[in-house]
Amino acid sequence: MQKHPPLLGIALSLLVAFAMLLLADTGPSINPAQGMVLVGIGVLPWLALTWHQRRQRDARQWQPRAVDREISGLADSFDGLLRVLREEFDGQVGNTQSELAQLRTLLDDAIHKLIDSFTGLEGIARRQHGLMLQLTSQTMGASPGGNAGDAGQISFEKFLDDTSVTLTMFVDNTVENSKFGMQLVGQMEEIGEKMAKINQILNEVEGIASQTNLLALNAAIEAARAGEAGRGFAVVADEVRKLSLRSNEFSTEIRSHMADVNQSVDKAERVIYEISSKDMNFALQSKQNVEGMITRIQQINAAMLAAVGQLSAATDEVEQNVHAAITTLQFQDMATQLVAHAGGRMEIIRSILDGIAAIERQHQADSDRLDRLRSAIREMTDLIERSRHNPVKQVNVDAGDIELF
Amino acid sequence: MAKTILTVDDSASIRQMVSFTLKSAGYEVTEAVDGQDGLDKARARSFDLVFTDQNMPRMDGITLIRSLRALPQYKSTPILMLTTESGEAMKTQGRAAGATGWLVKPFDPARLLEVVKKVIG
Amino acid sequence: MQISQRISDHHAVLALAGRFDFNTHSDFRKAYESVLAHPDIRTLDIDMQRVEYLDSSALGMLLLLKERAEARNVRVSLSHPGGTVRQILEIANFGKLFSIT
Repeated sequence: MQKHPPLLGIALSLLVAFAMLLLADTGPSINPAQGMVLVGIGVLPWLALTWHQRRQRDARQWQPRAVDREISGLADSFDGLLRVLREEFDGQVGNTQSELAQLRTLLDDAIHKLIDSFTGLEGIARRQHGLMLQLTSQTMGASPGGNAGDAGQISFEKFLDDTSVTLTMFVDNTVENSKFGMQLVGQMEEIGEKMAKINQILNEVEGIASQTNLLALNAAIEAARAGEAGRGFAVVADEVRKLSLRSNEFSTEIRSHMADVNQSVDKAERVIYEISSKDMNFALQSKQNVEGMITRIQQINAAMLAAVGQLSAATDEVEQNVHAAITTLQFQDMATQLVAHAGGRMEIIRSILDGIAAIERQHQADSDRLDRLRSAIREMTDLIERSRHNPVKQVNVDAGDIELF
Repeated sequence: MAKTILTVDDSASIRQMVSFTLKSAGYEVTEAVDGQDGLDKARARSFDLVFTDQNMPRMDGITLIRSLRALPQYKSTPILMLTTESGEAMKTQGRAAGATGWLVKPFDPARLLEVVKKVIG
Repeated sequence: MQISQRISDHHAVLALAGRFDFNTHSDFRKAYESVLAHPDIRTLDIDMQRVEYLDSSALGMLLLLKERAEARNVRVSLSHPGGTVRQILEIANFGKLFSIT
């Protein structure tokens, strides 16, 4: 036991060094490559234990030459096992590296397509929003962007405003016409009143003529009674009677003309009635129609504006989501770097194992071997130290810090 | 005229996302695949702003910044690091090399644009 | 249409009832002329509460009344027009010409 401590010591120190380095470096999580190493490490104590048990058994029938042979054989088996382990590990590392490369290619391809999809989606949302704005600016006569009153745009509101103005003008004209009509009617009434006065005067004129006629008749009778002496007076009385009759004829004629005038005035009044008396309900009806349409169109416009607003918000939301997707999709960059880093660690582990396996037993004293193993462990410590710098510290895909110097 | 931005990153997807973000805001974007490519492209013409990653083959970001700062036309051009690296030691190195700012990936497009606007208007 | 007339100091009221249209022109004119003949009258209110119908000639008559009254420094107001009557007064913009209460 005292005579052959190096192999057991080597095995135990390897075990401790590996375990400590791996645990210190990676924490509780273990990847396949590290698993391989641990399996290898697991073999070492088993080997050591086997060797130790055999040595104890042999010690009972202790013979120096036989023991040397035994140790030499065991050391050869150990070297052989190390070689097998290294070869197996080389194969596994190679496979893992090519799998990691495949993973990277898959990620590249998928991410590229995802980015295209998301950015394409945002483009489509923007186009859709643009089309909606165009559509509403055409139907509403004014775009929310402010190109109000562009030539060639259909404006329902303007059309209705025009209709409203036309209606107001029409109502004003109707009322104005009626006012003139009623003014005329008033004047007609004055004419009527004057005519009535003329009639009264005519009555008086006719009364005077009638009395004159009676007087002339009495004068003629008195003249006849006077005989020859009254002959001349009889002629005068007759002339006076004739004058009164003619006066009556004029009066009748005037009355007939006055009746004509009255008829004409009546006719004029009827015409004026036709012109001035308009039912105003037409205006009410039109106004209500226009107002109804205005209300309806305002509702439509409001609904469209609301829709545009909602679409705007939706477009913004799409943009925000695409931004979030872009932030999240950068996991690939981190994953790729982590994969490369993990690959690097495996290469280091492989080279460590290569280094240990390369320390051949032949032509070397056990003590020399021990030194070489020690220096191999030192080198490995350096290598592992260098592989400790992980370029990715992030544990999630939240946006990183920004610092301006 | 649109401002020109050079984005240097060995990850094609990061270049694609940075380009999309900047182009959609109206900037003109040129991509370079590593520090050396970035330096060559920066020499060929001048840019208003440079984004660079840190860990890249051939030439890393901090070396690129040092090389750019040595060129007269990049004495005062804003150069922003856009990297997964977030360690203070690395930031100090970047700052000493002449970086204008440090953005840790992943970047949020809206915040990236805010920074760009702040730096080059 | 029936027209009733109330006069107190400087204020006169003509209360109309029924259809206010062309056929009433004579009665209406006589009624307001008789009110305006009072030299002390300063305000004249046309109470339209019981007017059932109004045509354009009635509007014309109200405008003529306004002209005649203003020539005599008398202010004319319209009061209590009912639903349709009020709407017709509004559509003819009478609110700008008269005080309508």
